Amino acid sequence: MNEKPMTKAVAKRFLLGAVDDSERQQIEKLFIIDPEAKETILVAEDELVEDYLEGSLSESETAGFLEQYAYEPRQRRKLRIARSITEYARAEALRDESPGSALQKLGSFVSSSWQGKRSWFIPIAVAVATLLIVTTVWLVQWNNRRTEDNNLRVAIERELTELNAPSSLRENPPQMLSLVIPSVSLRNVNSPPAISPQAADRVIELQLLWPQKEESPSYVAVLRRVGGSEEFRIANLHAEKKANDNVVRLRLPAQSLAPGLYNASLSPIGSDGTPGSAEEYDFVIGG
Amino acid sequence: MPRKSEFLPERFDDLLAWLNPDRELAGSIYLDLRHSLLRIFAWNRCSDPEGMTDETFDRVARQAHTLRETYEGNPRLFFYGVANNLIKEYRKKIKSHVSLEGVEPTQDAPQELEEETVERRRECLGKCLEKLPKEKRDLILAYYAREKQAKIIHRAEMARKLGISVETLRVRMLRIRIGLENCIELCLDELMENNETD
Repeated sequence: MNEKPMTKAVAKRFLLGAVDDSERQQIEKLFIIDPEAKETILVAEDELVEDYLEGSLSESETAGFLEQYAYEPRQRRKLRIARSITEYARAEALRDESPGSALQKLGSFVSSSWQGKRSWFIPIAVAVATLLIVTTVWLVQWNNRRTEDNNLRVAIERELTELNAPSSLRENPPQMLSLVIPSVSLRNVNSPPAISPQAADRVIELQLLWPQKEESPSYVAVLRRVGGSEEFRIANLHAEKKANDNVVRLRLPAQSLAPGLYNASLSPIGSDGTPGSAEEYDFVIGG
Repeated sequence: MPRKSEFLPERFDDLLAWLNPDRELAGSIYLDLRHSLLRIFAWNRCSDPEGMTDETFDRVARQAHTLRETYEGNPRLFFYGVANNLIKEYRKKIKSHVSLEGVEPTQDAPQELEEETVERRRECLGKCLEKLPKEKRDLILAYYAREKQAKIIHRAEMARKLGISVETLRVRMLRIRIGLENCIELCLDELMENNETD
């Protein structure tokens, strides 16, 4: 067991109580010390709960599941809460789908009216022509905006490259804020760390704590604002020792970051250029 | 056996210092450990996972000052060793008088039903969803909106739109859901406390 990696199958056997005592202890030790194993176990548990609620577990799995999860009042409550969340989400989805069917009804109403009342043709034709003109104007403006956005993006990319060049990282510029961020797996369920740059602040330095034991020659970060469509890739980052931790520093132009929740995905790059298992980091830029 | 933790401040400081010299990081390790131990006690069907987690921290905190000087290796393993001893003690105690048979989640004890109605759960779910940022709320509701085969296709589409893998999406959703569950539990506890005082 010691050398075996944690897989979902092993995790599920453990969660269903189908392991012996020594295997249980090994798995629990991994759960405590290995963030990746912990994540695998929690994901496996989440899947088991979902499968149970959907009635997708086999008879023996259901029996094992109930023995583990129906035993203790708090566990039973968690199960009821999980059920409430899925039921609510499905009810909301059904409600959201109804505007779609309303649109279909509207479409069929328009087409049946057209067959009956041809005198509507002229006002409809005028409306369509107006719509075409408005659309053309909008398209021209949209294209201009897209060019501007593209230029802005190129500028930000250039700035990111400069800020994170090894020579720049050796210096500590004035007006720089720092934020230590544990990976999502380490930080667990707490709120993401937040920082609010002032007008005078120029650079934000994220100190991404690297929880994996193995170190890599370099790292690549992919930064995106949650809910936004753009992402920025910053390559050739390096881990440094700080106290007992490995830290990857990532510097960002403070004034280019709109307020909101951001996510950075950090991947180790092996000596042969292949990416390894990524770590996720969330942080908030305040207004 | 388990009881609520009553840390002396200096003991807690020793404990944090042992976990990591950086106090902020030590704090997040402490919270992570706490969460892990709670899970472990629950998986081992201990009747009071919270109390046993407190007891584990208490026992370690009493030795933290010495451990800082003498213990070599990952402190998390030491915590696990203490927790595992507690599990063994617990098992010895309950061996004689607990049967697991016939326990169904739908067969709630009358007291549980009385205290925690569907309406209260819905009320708390609504409140806690409101507390989530809109992006997270929309994501979690979309994530759990489908079931079975439709669910797999729907989640693959969500992951594609977000530009992440389905596994990363799952981990992200798990984190939001755990936060939501904790909020609902707190809310239910508060409602029950208010009910008792009325």
